[in-house]
Amino acid sequence: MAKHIVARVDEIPPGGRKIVRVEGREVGIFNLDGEFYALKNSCPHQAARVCLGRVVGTTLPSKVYEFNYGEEGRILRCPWHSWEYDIRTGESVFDKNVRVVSYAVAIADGEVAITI
Amino acid sequence: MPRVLDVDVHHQIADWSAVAPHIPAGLRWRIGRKGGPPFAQHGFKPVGAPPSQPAADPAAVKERYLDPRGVDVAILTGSLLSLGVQPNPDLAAAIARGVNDWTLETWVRPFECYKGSILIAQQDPTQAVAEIDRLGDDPGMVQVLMGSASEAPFGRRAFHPIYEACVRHDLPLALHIGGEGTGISSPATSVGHPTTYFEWYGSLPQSYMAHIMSVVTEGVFERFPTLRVVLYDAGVFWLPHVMWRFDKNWKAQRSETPWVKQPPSRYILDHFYLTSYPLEAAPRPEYLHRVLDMIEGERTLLFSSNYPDWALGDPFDMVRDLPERMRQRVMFENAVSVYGDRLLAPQRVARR
Repeated sequence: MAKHIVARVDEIPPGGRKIVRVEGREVGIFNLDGEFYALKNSCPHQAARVCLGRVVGTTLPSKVYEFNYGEEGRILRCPWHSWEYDIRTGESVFDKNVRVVSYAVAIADGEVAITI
Repeated sequence: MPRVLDVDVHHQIADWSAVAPHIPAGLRWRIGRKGGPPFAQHGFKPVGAPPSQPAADPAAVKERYLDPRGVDVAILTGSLLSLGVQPNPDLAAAIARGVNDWTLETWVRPFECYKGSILIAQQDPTQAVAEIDRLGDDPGMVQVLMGSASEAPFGRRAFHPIYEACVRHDLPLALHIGGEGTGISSPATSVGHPTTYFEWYGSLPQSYMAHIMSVVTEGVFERFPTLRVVLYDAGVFWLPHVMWRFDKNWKAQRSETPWVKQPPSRYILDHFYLTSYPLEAAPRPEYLHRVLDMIEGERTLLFSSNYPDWALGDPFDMVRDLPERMRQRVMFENAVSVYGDRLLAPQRVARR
């Protein structure tokens, strides 16, 4: 496990992302309203580059025939098959055991560091 | 002799003049005399052996079939599987009421070995619900029965009061193929009307596939978590396809129906049951065993005879290749689980 500085904070505005390469793997760095998250750029389904997907919201579990849209800006939708993941945890919305690998993020001196 | 519960005996009406007194006068004249009401037909002459015996006399059915085969209790399913797609909903509802009363009076009350199904005509859900409420607590009735032939998929919300009524009386819902393509039904296949009886009969599981997708996506089991549905007479091999295609798609498409919170296969295996007549004729017994494992057959499969129509073979031969570990459950115990105490009580179970 090692810490890697991957970006300057001001490179990734809120709602933005940056794809970086660390130790031979691609990682997506996301800024959600000032909080930073790092996800491996590989969908657990078929290894698509999931971090290139749209950042969206989704319909939350609801009563029958009710539609509650939420989590706007916090859901990453894989570009291949539309599986959806919570950027904050990497967990899919349909099964918490299906998840994109996530890495710890630390902010110091205006820089974003991840631990891999 | 092993104990057997048979969930599917098609009792028949030989003489409609016995049913007529149970139908209000305003519609009784539409029933006609001995031959009964004119039902919309699919236009095919069935191919296959004719019924071995008519099943119009409860004492004769007991003597010829139940007793020699060791069947303790049989659930009666009648012969009006296209009632729910007859054009006139009031006439259909009146026939359902009349036939249900006739079944209770002629078959169920005098014989401990028979239990009834509350036949409904679902093209008018309001009258269907009234009929379920009228007979739903009768100890002689063990399920609600409607034909799977329909104008619309069964998940549509117009049908939900029927499911609510089933749950209110703790009655399983039986669906039975047979009226597909007749009356006001959709064509029997999604691409149109079949040409021959052979094609029509082979196509019938499509009807269940469509209904299953509909009730799961429309949240019927989220709204009615105790509802149990028995799918009659369509085999089992098509079900794993439905489950797993559905599960795969749900991972990507669930956002359209956010109330579908579990993988669709979970709703299917938790709420649907299947009958043994006519099990597909798999070329090797191990194929059947594998599919039964896929659909949790040790819980979900119920023995059914389809008496008196054995055109596709003897129903006891069809279960010959069941894994031994499942046999007692399929022949007896699963039916007790699905139908509850009502199936065996208050009457004593006939013992030989």
